[in-house]
Amino acid sequence: MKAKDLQRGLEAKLKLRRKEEHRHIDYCVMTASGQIALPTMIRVSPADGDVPARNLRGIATALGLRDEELSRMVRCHISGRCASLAICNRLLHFVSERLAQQGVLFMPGLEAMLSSIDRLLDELPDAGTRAPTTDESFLMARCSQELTALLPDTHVGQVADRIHRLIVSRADTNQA
Amino acid sequence: MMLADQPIPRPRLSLPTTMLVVDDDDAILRKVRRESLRTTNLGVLVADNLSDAVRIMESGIEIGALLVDLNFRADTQDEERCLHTGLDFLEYVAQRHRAVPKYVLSVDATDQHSRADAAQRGIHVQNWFDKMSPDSSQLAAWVKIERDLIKSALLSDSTLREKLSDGSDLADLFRDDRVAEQVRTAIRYPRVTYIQKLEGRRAITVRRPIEVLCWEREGRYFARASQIPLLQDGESDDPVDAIDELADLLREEFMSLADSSSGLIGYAEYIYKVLCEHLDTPAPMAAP
Repeated sequence: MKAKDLQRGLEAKLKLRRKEEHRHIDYCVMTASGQIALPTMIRVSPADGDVPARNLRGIATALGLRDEELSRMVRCHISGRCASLAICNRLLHFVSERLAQQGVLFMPGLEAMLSSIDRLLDELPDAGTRAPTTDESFLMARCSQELTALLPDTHVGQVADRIHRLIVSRADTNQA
Repeated sequence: MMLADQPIPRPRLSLPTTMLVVDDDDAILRKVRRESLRTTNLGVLVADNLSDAVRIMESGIEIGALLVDLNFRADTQDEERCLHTGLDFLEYVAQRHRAVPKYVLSVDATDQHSRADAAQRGIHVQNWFDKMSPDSSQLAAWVKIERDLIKSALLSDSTLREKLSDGSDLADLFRDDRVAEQVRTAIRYPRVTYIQKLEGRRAITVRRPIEVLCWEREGRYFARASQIPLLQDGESDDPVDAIDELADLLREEFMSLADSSSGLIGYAEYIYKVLCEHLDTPAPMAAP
């Protein structure tokens, strides 16, 4: 994949803030008010030419996507809304894992992340009226399945439920 | 770089795995750090002067072993505590942290006067390593230290001790260097080490060493700052490079967040606060 195509996908679909460095470009998640909700989580390196497979894999994982799903997002088969829901799913699993490792010491981090995820969900792009693509359906089905495991969790269950409902409501609307 | 969701392998043995190396020669410190990270599972803290060494010993970080030079330049001694040599430092530590195994790495390691001096002061030095030893067949100091720690952990393991209580001679096995060496090379427990410097164009002072968990999986090494939950880990096919990548990530993350510190919310704000607990705000860029 060309770095320029990937950059266009990240900027146009996910509205990530671009920060150019000497040999690479970093991206972080911004809110509508211009505040940074997450530390830098994506680095495209090098800034030109083809993106190495390892870098692509790292970016896909950062976004909660599989390699193939990332390339489909760049090719507009997956919307910014679905990709944002996948990010929220990944972030929730990240804090859930960290909480399991660090226990109560991580509670402030957990609360901060839940607030970031809430903010991302508040600013989710509209679902629109078109039917989901096959790629979107597969991605959302996977996220939904992964979120189900977090639903009973007393710490992250509520936010997992919110993401889950946003996924399911879209599927219901389109089925109707 | 790896995303930090993957669980870290659980340690199979509880070992005090961090070694503090004290030497006034930066080249030696770099060599010991690099080689011990590559060839053992020991974590490494370094001090290039006796005052810093005392500060680390008293910081609450659990030190598993000390590897100390004997001779220190005047500007690396601790006048306040009257610590002028490695033996002064070891004596100081022995009075406060008796259980920490002590090793000497020096050009004077074979000097009988030094050994007699240590014995006279009641300092039990586990082993004396000669910096200038031409014998390449000898195991490196850090490998022997790790092996000693493993032997000690095996001997103090209560489950093993129960098994031995039936009078079998397994205890003898665990005192055997060859067995310890087999165990050492077989065990891959997560290493706890530390980042003490963040090097780059803008100087950032590390106020307190940053604890790093480093582990190996399928031939690749991963490094994670255990108290700074970043979204990414350092990753490389070399443990030193994985730790250096994490240090680079910490530095860049900190500078980026510091530049926009008034516009941070949620997790970004949290991470910045955690980073500020470990690091001093970077100095502003010099005007071109």
